[in-house]
Amino acid sequence: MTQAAPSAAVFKSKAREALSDPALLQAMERAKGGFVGARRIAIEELAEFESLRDAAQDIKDHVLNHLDLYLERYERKTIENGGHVHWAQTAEEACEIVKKICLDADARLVAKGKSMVSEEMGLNRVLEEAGIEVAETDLGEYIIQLAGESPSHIIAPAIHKTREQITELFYENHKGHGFSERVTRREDIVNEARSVLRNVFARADVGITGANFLVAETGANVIVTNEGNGDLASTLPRVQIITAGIEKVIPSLDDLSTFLRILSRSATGQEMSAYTTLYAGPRRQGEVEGPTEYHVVLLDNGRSAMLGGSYRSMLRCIRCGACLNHCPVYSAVGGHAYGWVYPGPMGSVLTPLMQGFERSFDLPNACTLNGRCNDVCPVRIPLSDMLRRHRFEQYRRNLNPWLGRRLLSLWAWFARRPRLYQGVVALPVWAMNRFGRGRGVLRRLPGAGGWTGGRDLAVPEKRTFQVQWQAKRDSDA
Amino acid sequence: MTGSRNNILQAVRSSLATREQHSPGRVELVEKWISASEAHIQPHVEDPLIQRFCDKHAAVHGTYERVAGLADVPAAVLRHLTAIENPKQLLVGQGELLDLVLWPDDISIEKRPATVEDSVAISEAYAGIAETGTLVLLSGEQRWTSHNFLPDDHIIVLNSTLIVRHQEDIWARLRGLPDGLPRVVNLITGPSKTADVEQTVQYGAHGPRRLHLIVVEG
Repeated sequence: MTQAAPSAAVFKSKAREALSDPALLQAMERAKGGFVGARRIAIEELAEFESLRDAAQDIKDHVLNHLDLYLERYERKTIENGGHVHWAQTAEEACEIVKKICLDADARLVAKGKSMVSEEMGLNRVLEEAGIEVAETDLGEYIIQLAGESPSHIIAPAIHKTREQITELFYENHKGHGFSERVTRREDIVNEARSVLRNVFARADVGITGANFLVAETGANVIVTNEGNGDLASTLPRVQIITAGIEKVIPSLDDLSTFLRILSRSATGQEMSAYTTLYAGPRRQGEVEGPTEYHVVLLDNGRSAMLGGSYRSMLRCIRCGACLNHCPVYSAVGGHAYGWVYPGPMGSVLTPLMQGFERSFDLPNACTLNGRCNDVCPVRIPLSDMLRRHRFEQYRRNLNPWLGRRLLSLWAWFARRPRLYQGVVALPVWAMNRFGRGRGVLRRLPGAGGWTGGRDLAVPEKRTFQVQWQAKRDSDA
Repeated sequence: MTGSRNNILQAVRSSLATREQHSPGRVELVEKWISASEAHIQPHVEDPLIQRFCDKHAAVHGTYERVAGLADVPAAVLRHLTAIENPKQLLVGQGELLDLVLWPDDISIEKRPATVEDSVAISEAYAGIAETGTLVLLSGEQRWTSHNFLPDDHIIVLNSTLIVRHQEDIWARLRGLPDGLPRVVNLITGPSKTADVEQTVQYGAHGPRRLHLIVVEG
């Protein structure tokens, strides 16, 4: 099952497709608010949450200030534990490293736990082209692997799939596993996947997972999951591979506790996910289970460059997904419109940095700058500021379309002439109020079908801001 | 490969160059951060810890029974096996309490790693964390991590005196182990679950469907 080549160049057309896909809208509508409500409750119950955010930000800033030393410290401890540490500058190099480990181990089947870095690498396709079978084992990842799609959410990869779609996918793909009926109950769907994937765990030669954290103190990789598939993939196969970005290293176990307190609460509203596991190296003397080889692949892929510029704080990201869950744009169009592996606000910041503006021009502009992402980010990344910075950069590099630049210049010309400006904006305000007929929203507007096709347009206040401001000043005086 | 290692570290250093790289005492600062590491912000956790721990465990869909002593463990296990209608076959891991349990004849026990065929395993926890109802399990020669994830039912025995208040209390204890940290440290908070089908929680995704705790007091 290969995925389409990543492309973030077509946000507009993909967003349009998404807005006219009833199954997607149904799935997103169902998902809306679930994570948001659970997070709110979890945080209301923890008086120390804001101080924990501060502490987490401080730890991350400290690590980033000394990232070279922490990476070396982590590497030393991992080698002491009997593990191997590999360094990859690019996604391609990381794929080659993983492929070589698998081929050297004569691997036929790889069991994968969820790893966004492996998505970033495009790992599955490389392994499959080398003749190695790859099985995603996280239920959401498994569903989208069957569908030949990429994740649409960093912690809920199949959030865009309806139950009916999953039923059909399982029906089409599980006949060879002895399942010939359509299963429609959620419980039965989960059980069928459990049964099929048990067979994968039992046969897999290599297990590949990501890492939520790498602890420099002990050389352990930490995975945080609810299903237990990452732990089976780390325990049963004879070779264990961990793919992680270089920003995942943290100093100590106490620092880990600070992150664990904010991660699951921000992601799913849980105090702790079901399974948090620290793995340190291959099986030890006297042990009869656990992998005999333990490999960590550290991926740079643009991160070291981000460290030096204005986007350093993006490296604090712990991939909780809260910014996606609270983003009105993400909630409307889903993750696939973003075109690459990281969607939502964090993706709109990261994708241009990793893939370039040529392939992601629209992403920083697909944002209302409402700032909810900043408010919920557990490590206080100023996401909307960085999106605005991307826009400045696009304008500075002359990347905006000609029409948009002309209109901006035109607007600036009027804005410098207040009287004229007020006169000119009063006309559309009056016209839109006429069209709206007191309903507050416009369902249709001549010349703006692109907007009103997917959503209503709010009618502006009857009086412009300047008029209201002047009135307020007059009355204050 | 060493080329990439050096290139990445060099790229990191040049990104840090102007601001941090030349500040004096960096290496000492980093070592000290780790060696003098202590808890940052800890949530308030009310007493009594045993009840708090059990309540938190139940809140994440775990079941539990408190027993007065080691001698009560086999009966508690039997009650649970009967309740879940499972054959009286157990995989048993190593532990200070479990090693002393005298299993009745009607329970057959085996001490080996789990396979996909096994339905029940019993393990002993290294500790319990009252803050979140989390059980801590360590790997070892006779403590198989597969017991924690493969069987449909997982039973965990916990000595009530090993319940700590905060997560960091565990790190402090683990650092004191003669051989250092074990290969695997499992922090387990409730049974396996997934919400990948329509954002609705289903238990028993890949790991145990049910998690039963026996707290041994006294």
